[in-house]
Amino acid sequence: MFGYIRPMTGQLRVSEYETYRAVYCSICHALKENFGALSTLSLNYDFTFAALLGLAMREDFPGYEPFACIAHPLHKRQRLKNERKVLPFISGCVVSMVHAKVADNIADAGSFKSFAFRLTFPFTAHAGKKADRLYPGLMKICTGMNDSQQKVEALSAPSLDAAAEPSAHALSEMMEMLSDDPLNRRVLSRFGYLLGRWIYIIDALDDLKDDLKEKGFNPFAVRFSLSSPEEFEEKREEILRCGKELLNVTGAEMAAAYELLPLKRFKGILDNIVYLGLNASMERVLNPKKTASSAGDPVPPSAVSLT
Amino acid sequence: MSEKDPYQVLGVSRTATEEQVKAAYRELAKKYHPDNYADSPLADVANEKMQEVNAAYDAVMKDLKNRGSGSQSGTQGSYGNGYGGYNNGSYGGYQQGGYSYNQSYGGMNDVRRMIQQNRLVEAEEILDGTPGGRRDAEWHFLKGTICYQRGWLDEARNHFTAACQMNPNNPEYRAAYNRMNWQSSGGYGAPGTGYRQTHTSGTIDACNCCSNLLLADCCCECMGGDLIPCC
Repeated sequence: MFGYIRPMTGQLRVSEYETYRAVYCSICHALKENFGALSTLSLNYDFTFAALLGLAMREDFPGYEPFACIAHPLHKRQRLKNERKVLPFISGCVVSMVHAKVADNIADAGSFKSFAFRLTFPFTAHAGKKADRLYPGLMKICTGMNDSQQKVEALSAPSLDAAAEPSAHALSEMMEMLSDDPLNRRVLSRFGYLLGRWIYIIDALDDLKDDLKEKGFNPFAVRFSLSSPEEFEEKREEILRCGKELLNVTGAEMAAAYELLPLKRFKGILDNIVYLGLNASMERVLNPKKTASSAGDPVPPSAVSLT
Repeated sequence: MSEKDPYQVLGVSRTATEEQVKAAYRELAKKYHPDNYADSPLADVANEKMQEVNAAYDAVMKDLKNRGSGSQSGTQGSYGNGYGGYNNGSYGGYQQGGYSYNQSYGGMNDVRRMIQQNRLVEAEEILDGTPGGRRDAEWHFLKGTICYQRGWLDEARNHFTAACQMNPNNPEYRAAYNRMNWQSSGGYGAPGTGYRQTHTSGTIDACNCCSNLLLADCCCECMGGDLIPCC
């Protein structure tokens, strides 16, 4: 479920790309500092976006410093100087979400498949507990998400809206914690809800074929009464159109909420992610072959505006 | 609100020309246009932003006028006032229009008020208590609005569609239905506000010909005609 929220790098300025990388590296550092070196394995792009958003809304900004990264020993990288508000919180979100995912996979998969997850479980559980100590409520958000997801999946024929609700609700609560201002919290709550919903829908579309093979739950399989991968191929066009429309509507509402957030910095990068990156991820999922072959020619600059 | 720097609100430098200020203002006005936030739980936040932008525009235009006083102060003044006046007028008119329109409805007034006060659970209880036979176009519209505010956008769209099918002539239902259709085809905001058009204007291709037709239909309907009879 991770990795859909990222910028269209071809359309970023070089300075913006470097900023994006610096924030990414800073989350890695915050993870290592707070939850140990192993937790850096759970680093992902989606929460880089959340970190950028959290940092963009703060009055103060610590600036950058160069450092030597073990994973890339030949080049110096940049990171944020001693940031103590947003990054530790984001790293807490990362470990609790990853732990929730691992716990969910153990519950879902058979005994053989869940072996790898069972191995990682003690580590993610430890990190998750620590995150909950630092930021009370994080663990509850994640376990609540898993519980309501199981309840929804147990219903006879849940709607797409109902199936997306647990993820959307969890993200809504997490994003809300990025600000103390009541008005901004309201906007963040709606924004987070729609972001979580968007991620859930695209993940469901992306996994549909595998879920059909393995007889796992998928809201699109319910919607189109699919029981085998062959049926998916038959109705492919219809399903993908439905998915695209849902993603578009959710993305448009998300953008409307996003525009109400008071951003002090990073607007170029965040605009890129919200208006271009999401669409690029959608195209990747909807037309995997086409995008792979035409990856060399990005959208011509004249076709998009970033203002 | 008053302590914010008007130049910062508009996102222009202190040396910006009148044209640059106007262009920046127009972009922001498109962005926070009330049509983009109709039925949204964040409508009041957008409204506040719009007022902030309006105030900033007035302040900056006044500043420009003072700076350039001597040579062309007369023309600049009338320009600024004209533009600000236009916007304030249209905005206030829209809001009041919306409310008086709501009041002209009968049975569902309580539900409408609850939705406005963000009491969605209560509003939904009343709606769900309505027996199946009495669920008319307005019922579907209100149910759709509640779903929309919650973020249940798929169900919202189905209800707006049902409302439009039952009462094709109601502009309120039509606007909600058109907005969701526009967004589902990749548009942002509401159709016709001109906010963030990603395709180059003036060309018609397979991607935008339907939305163009839909827009043309909207325009025709505003003038009392109809281009596409089925929607």
